[in-house]
Amino acid sequence: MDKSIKILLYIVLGVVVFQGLFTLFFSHSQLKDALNEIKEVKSNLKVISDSLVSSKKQIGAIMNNLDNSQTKMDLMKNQVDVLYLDYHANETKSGIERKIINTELKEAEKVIDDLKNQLDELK
Amino acid sequence: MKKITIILLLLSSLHSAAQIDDPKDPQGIIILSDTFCFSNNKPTPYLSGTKLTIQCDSVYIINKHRYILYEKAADIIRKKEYVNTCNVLIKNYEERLQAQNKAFDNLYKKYIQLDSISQRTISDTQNSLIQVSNTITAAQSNIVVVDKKMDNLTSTIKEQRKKSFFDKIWFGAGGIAVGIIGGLIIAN
Repeated sequence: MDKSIKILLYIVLGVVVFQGLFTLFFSHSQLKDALNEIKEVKSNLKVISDSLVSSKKQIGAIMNNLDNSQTKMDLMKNQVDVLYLDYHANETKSGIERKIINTELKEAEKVIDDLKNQLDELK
Repeated sequence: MKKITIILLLLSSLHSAAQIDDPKDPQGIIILSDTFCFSNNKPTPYLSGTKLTIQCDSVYIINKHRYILYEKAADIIRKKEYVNTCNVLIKNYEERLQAQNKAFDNLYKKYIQLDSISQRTISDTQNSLIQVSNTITAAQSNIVVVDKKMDNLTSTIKEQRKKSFFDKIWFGAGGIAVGIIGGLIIAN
């Protein structure tokens, strides 16, 4: 066999052996990276899940506050309605009393007018 | 008919003199006849020492103080100032009351509107929050699903990695073996 071909074959075999040794001891697996990334994603998902749980709790608290506010507003509205009705009832009562007073005043005025006429008739 | 004769002693500060037109009897005593009793004449002041014969059914004699008081009262009645003031007061009060009623009604209407808007806002907010809560629940479910899939993926990758490890050993050992055997063949 020609010497140069032998050298070439040795080089090729050396490369094959080197590749084998490299694969055995130094090759890097991307699957390991993927596992790490999955772990990181899972950790992130847990953080998101915790945030969502906290948000749900806060929403629950807000809902309770809104319910309380609504109840208070309903109570307030009822009280205002009662006050409004009371006011108008009192107003009606007061109107009747005012009418009576006005009538009495008119009568008094009439008496005073009569008195005035009588006084005017006097010299 | 009962006749009342009263002699009036008015205070000397009265400036008017006794009516000289009044009829008098022969003794000079002034006679207040029936005509006087029903007349609309002005009150007549009589000075100290005046003697009167009253022929009316009855007369009322008042002193100066009461006369001034009555005149003041009559003046008030003539002017009607208090009545007018009272009417103005009542009118103002009625107007004020009407304005107040109107303002109160407006206030009540605005309160009702505000209450309605607030109730609607609260209701809308609650609905929105329920939707958000549902979305969060859905997101949580999705996260659980994704987490499970991630677990499956992890176990798959781990299996794959194990398999790949043995493949690598075979491939590496094979390469070394091929190189050594090839070298030996070439050397021989």
